[in-house]
Amino acid sequence: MASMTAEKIAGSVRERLGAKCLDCTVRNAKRVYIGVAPKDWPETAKYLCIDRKCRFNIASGYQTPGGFEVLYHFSFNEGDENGEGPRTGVVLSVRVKADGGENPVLPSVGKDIKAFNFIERELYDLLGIRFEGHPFPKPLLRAEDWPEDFFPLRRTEKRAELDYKAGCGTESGP
Amino acid sequence: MKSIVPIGPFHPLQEEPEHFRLHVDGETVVGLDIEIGYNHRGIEKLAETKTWEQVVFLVERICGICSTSHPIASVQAMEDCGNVEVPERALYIRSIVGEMERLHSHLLWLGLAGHFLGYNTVFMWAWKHREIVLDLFEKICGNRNHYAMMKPGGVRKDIPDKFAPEILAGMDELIPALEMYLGAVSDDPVIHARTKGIGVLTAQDVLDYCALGPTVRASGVAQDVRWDHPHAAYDRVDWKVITHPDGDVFAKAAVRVLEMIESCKIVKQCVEKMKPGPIDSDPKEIGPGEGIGHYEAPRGETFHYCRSDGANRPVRYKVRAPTFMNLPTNYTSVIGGSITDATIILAAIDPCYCCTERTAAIDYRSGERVLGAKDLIRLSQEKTRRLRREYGVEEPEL
Repeated sequence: MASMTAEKIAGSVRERLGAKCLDCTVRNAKRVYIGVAPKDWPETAKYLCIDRKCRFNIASGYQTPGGFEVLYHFSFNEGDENGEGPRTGVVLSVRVKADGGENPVLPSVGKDIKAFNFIERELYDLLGIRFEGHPFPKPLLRAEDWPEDFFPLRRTEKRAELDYKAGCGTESGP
Repeated sequence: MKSIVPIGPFHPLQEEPEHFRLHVDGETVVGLDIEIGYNHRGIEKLAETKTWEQVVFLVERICGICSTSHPIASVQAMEDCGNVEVPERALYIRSIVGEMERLHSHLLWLGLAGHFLGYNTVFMWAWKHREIVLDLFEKICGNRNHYAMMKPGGVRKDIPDKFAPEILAGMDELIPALEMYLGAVSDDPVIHARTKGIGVLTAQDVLDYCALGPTVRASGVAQDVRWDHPHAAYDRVDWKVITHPDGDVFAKAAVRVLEMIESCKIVKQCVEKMKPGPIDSDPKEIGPGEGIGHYEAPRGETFHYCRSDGANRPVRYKVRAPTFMNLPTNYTSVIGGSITDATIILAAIDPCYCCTERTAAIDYRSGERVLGAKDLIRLSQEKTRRLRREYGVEEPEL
């Protein structure tokens, strides 16, 4: 039953997005992963948040050997078919591979949907993914003394690892 | 006179430092700046250097109050990633520990909310009743906080059957106490005046911000990860999602108190229904892939995502605490209200308390300090006293 729900949700999303849905995997009864291109991402986000009334959980960025990708997680809080009993919740994750190689860029959704505002700022601070058209691109977590090109969650960023070995309170500062 | 009132960033009662700047015109808040990131500890980066079992201990240290919500979400993410089965008894134990944590967290909130409103008796009562839960925790896991109960595949320690009568007695003692709070709150005209219609968030507001937990449920939206995404033992016991339609500070307090009564019921049922059996499936490895885990912490859903390449540690670990989504709702709830209500509105999302002791009001033009931390609490408590006189309610003796 639960597996049907995940497959049903995956099917309806795939149907709506058509060729824009690059891939779609139903990993288990509660987890669905789909992929879209950056240019189709704002439309997908609006479809999921506004039309399907999903709850945006959060986004998580990752540096792959080939570039950067962001996974946007959405909760489907729809009840079961009768709308009764504990619901069989499904999390749908949308994988968007950023353009721009070392200087990744994605279109901002924060300008249309408030809930994306903070996380897009965080993704820039920690991974250096720039969101084009963000309404308020101010640092959120970034410390004032970080160099401008310092993005600690990048796998190519060796300075972040050195800091752990040096520990806090060394002569060069924490 | 236009002023900027900075609140924060650090306060011993909050586990997440944040800095608010209230732009105040006369007594009305006309603007709000929120800054976070003062205590960025690099937990996500650190998690990449720890083994799976160590990550659970690491995320336990994210928050002192939700110290079991993060581990539950974390082990669920790992189990999702590695397709690990969890024995039934472990699921019940997870629910028991999680609900007892909700009890002590909500009691802490209730006490502090009372203090800010000038009801110090509530503060002391809440602390007294919180002690019941903390004593039980000490008995179960040896610690009043940081229980170290969760591990991928199950739980680390069993709850022996001989503890059952004591846990049940503790819950039976708490339920009448919580009902007393409800009674005291619902017939006090001063509390109504201080909390009703204050900091209102409509259902549309909370949905727009994708807010979480009691903040959402107090605006009439029945959203609860325990209900929407059944896990642990929540689909095996009888309980209901508490909502309140009003969206103000009163609604948030009412939801929290009623939720505590539900928590007591869940703990009692879990203790009674738990059957003897294994508590750990002892997975040897977390296979390659991605996993998502979430748990309804006292403040709302905590969300964990992990990615594994099949080695003994994650290659990416993402944590989203509930306050990250609840904090922006202050842009809507605080602006337009009075400065005397700002402390309680900021506190109403339970942001891990509202840093008032580090507060100083600065004159807009000269930069001179005009209002200190204690002054804001004093302002709030004075308003309650003034209302008590207006309503002819007697001043409680302390």
